[in-house]
Amino acid sequence: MIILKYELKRHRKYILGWAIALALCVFVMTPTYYSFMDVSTGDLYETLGTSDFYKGVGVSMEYLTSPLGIYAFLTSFFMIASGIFGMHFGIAIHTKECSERTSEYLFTKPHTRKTIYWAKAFTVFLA
Amino acid sequence: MSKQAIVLNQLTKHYGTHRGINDLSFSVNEGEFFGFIGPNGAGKSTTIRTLMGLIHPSGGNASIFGLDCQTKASVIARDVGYLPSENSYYENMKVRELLQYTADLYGMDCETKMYELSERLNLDLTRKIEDLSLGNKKKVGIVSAIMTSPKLIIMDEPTSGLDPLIQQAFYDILKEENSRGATVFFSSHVLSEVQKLCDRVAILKEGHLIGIQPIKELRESGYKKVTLSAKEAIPRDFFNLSGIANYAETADKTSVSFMYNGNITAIIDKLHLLHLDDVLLEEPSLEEIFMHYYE
Repeated sequence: MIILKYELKRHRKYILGWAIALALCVFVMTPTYYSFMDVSTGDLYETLGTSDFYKGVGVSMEYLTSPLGIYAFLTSFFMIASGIFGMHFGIAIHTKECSERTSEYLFTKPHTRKTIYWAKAFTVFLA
Repeated sequence: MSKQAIVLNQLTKHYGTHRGINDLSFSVNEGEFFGFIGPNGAGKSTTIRTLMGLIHPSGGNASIFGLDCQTKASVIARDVGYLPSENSYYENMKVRELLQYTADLYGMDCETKMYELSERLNLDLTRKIEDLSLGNKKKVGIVSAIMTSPKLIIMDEPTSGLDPLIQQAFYDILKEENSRGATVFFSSHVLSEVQKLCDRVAILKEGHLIGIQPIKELRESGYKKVTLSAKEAIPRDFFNLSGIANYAETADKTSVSFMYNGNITAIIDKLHLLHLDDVLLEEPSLEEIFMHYYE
């Protein structure tokens, strides 16, 4: 628990930075979600709604033209960014100990390497 | 018979074809101040890193307080304070935070000792690690290693980067810890500090253990350093006595110096035959004694 606590504290700026950036991305797209509410009566609906491609990939225009539907659709792109964050954080939290040569400090303390590894992995999970 | 804090049994480590350490076997008693000396690249840090369970030996084994260094490293660490030769810490932490992290990792409240040691070593706890000089980082490592009052203190070249005043304060701290009952394993290539502090010393050369001797015995090995200057040139074969080593003379041969471990009366008799300006018979420094090992 000690390692978890300190890892969260040590990386809080990084975690909060990414969380705020992703939240902002989702928030600034709000007008887009609402603009899609009117699509059902416009040209776009006629173009996309009759497209075989969308039917083929299983996208329903009724779903896309609801605020929640378009929110889910666009947010999936932001989730790619959050995936990149997760991957980078998950790898870096372990490898930084080696590249910054701090592993010698941590590995000579009364905790097994397994404990250290899982404490760091749990930090990534919580982040 | 005193218990053994550290036992090395034919400990060997090879880095591929590169030399590491070969067949090191010795033990350190509990409560002892043990010196570990050798030139750069002799294998001191390799030995210590193997003891700390950071690297796996190619052969042999080592134990601390009867526990195997490889399989019980985290259990051993509870009683060990370790200062690596090149210490790196989390750069974005403040000194106080890092030391508190150390205390928390040991599950101890070391605040009083942390402040006391920091004050003695003149360490500013409010500064960030990334802003610290090499010497100040070393101080952080020293406080971190000692503040938990461990039973065994392992220091790998601890005084590099410390100014003489702080070095003295550090020696005093180590002596106090040793008086408290802590075993100290002190690695260095500076013989004078080993001479000041240690009870026994192990000498390492090119990965091999050359010898282990009490400092007192080493000093009493009989060698005297003789330096003299005479009014006339001293013939090269004038001191044709056994036990003379490292004979050196000036160009005009009026001043000579050498190491001598033979009969003291014989050398005095020889000196009587010269018209001397000055003579100096002194205890050689450990450096001079050890030069014999390294030659």
